[in-house]
Amino acid sequence: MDKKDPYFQDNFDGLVEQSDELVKKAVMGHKKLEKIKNMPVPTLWSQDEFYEKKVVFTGMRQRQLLNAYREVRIKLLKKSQTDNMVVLVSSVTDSCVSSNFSFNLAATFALDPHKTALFVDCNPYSPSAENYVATPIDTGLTQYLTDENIRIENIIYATGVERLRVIPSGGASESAAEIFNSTRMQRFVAEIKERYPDRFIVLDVPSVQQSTEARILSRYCDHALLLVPFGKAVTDEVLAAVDAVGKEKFAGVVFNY
Amino acid sequence: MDKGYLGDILFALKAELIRFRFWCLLLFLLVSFSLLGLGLIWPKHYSTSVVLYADETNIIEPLLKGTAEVTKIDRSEQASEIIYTRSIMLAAAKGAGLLKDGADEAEQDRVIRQLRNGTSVQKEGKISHFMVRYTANDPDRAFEVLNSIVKVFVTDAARKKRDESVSAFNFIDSQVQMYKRQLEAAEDKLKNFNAKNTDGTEDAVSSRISNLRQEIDTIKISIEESAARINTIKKEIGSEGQYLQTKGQLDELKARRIALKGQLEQLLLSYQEGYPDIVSIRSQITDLDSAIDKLQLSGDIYSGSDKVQNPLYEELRKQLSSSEVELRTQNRRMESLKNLLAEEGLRQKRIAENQAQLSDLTRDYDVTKKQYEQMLERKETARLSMTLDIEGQGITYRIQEPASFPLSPSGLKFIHFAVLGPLIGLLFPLGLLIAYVILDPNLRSARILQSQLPSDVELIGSIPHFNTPIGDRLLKKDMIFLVGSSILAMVVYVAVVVFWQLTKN
Repeated sequence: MDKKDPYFQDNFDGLVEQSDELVKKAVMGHKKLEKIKNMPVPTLWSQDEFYEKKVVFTGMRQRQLLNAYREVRIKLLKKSQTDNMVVLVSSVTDSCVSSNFSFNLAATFALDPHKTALFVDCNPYSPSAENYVATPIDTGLTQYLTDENIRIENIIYATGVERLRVIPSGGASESAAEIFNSTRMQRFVAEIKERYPDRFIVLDVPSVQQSTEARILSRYCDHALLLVPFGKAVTDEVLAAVDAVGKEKFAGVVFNY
Repeated sequence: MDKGYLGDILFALKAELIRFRFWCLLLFLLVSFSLLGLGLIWPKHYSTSVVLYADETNIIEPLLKGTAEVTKIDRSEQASEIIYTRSIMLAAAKGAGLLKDGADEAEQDRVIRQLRNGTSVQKEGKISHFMVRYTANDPDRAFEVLNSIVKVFVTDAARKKRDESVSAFNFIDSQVQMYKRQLEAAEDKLKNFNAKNTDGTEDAVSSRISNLRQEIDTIKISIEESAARINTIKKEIGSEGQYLQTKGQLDELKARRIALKGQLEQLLLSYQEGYPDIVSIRSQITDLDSAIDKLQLSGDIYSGSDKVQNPLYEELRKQLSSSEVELRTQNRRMESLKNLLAEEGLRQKRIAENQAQLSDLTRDYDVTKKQYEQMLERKETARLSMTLDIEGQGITYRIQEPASFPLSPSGLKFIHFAVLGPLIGLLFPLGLLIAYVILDPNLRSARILQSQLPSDVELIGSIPHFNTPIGDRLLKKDMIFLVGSSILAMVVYVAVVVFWQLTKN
């Protein structure tokens, strides 16, 4: 916090709110770009690190993989009218962990230099965020939701991917379902959504089969995606999962080889 | 099944193969070496065979050629029925030294079952050739047992045939004797009957009767004729006198005078009185007149001296008497004919009565005779076939191709197992994987998932597997290890096979 962090500029927003609407709008537009430009750039991953963490990047050898993610991105954007969108990603069965897909989806959105992405790890049972975060993690989402004193800035971590941030789950909690059901969670989602313009948020939740988190969190999201793993789910399970998430926010299924 | 689906299946197969690669290798090695082990302990079967020829000398066949179809009998079937019988098997087992004389029932059953299992009879080309094969674990035993079986079978067949035809001949012979006796009895009966009844035939009697009737009719007519003649003659006799009257002389003279007078008048019509003829006639007439006067003067017209017997009367009387004799004769004849007719009628009745008995006897005789003749014929045939059998003709079994000593085992050999081992070992895990991929309901294809989702659920994307360089490297390393260990295992495998082939065979 000693360094001049661009996040401090948020404090000045209060002054701007007083001024004229037009001025405000112009300033806001300017600020958006400034904000994105001024996001702190941590040390980026090397190619080997990308491969090691199984994260997509431009110029990777397996182009069809990147294109597949781009396809998903295009379809999601088509469904959504706003710049900001919250996408919930869950897996149909327990045996498949959706975090890699979720992170890659977020990374695909972050490929666009005008957009930022945020990967929120809502899976307290098997946290995956430390895989992607360079710095050690002390607090995460569960701590934030239970402890009023923790600020959002403290749980957002930078990754080796440009314009992509991570909020870790914060470790196992017995009452994850209740915590996610709270109004603080609702406020949290709204806040992170508005924190940056053109922000794309991915909520990675445990599998539908395993828990109720997916059903609870699907209320906060704009779109829900279901991941069907290769050779691990039957059609009935897929249909049951679709019913559990609810049709109104359901965007579609993704088959993951 | 379209191309895309097939591609998906192949892709899934590849993925599962990579996933279960160690298990596949393990299974491959396990199956290969198990089959090799099985080949090592697989019992060897030695089998040897004899081709038998059913030699059928048929004397009827050339005679009947073209007129009647001779039934073709499958000799192999016939032979197998005989060979598998208990008596043959028992004799063969004893002949081969598998059974001692004092063996109990259970032991016999065991050995016979063993023999039956090892023996097979099959057709060999033509219907008269067939092959008997015996398979055992030991070449010596296979050879001995087969020879014993064939020997017992051939001798048994010949003996049985001989016995059969001799007994058949004896039976027919006894039948012939019986029919002969019957025939003789029938003949005697017929002879006796014929001797007693000499009335002749019905036809002869009826023709005789009609002859008699005809004769009677003829005689009746003759009798009538004779009677009529007698009547007529009697009438004649009545009208005719016994003696001719002299009165007739005068009448004669008068008639002559009249005739002369007429002649004279005729002549007078043409001639004068003086015509000599007329003069002569006048004198004649005068003579006649004087004669007549003289007669009239004598007065007795019927003078006794003139009385002569009438010849006609005599004649008539002669005729009458002969006719009467004839009539009497005819009447007598008629009577005797009537008697004869009555006799013939009686005889006819008698013959009709005897006819039924005669036909009965004749029928008996005919039937017995026919049977006897048939039997006699059959007896000759039986004698012929018996002779054929005794001389070793008819159907006999000859050994066409004798048994050879089995030098190498038959059936599955060690080398077959050795070759099939790796092949099946390779196919087995692959087959299991294919079955797993096809039968497992878990989704392995985005295409199938899409086809099974309802229309309102969209398939947004299909994310391929992330191939990281390190993952590729690891996989490569694994594959090298797997292929290397397979090759190593196969080298060991081939070494075992070569060693076994060289030392044990």
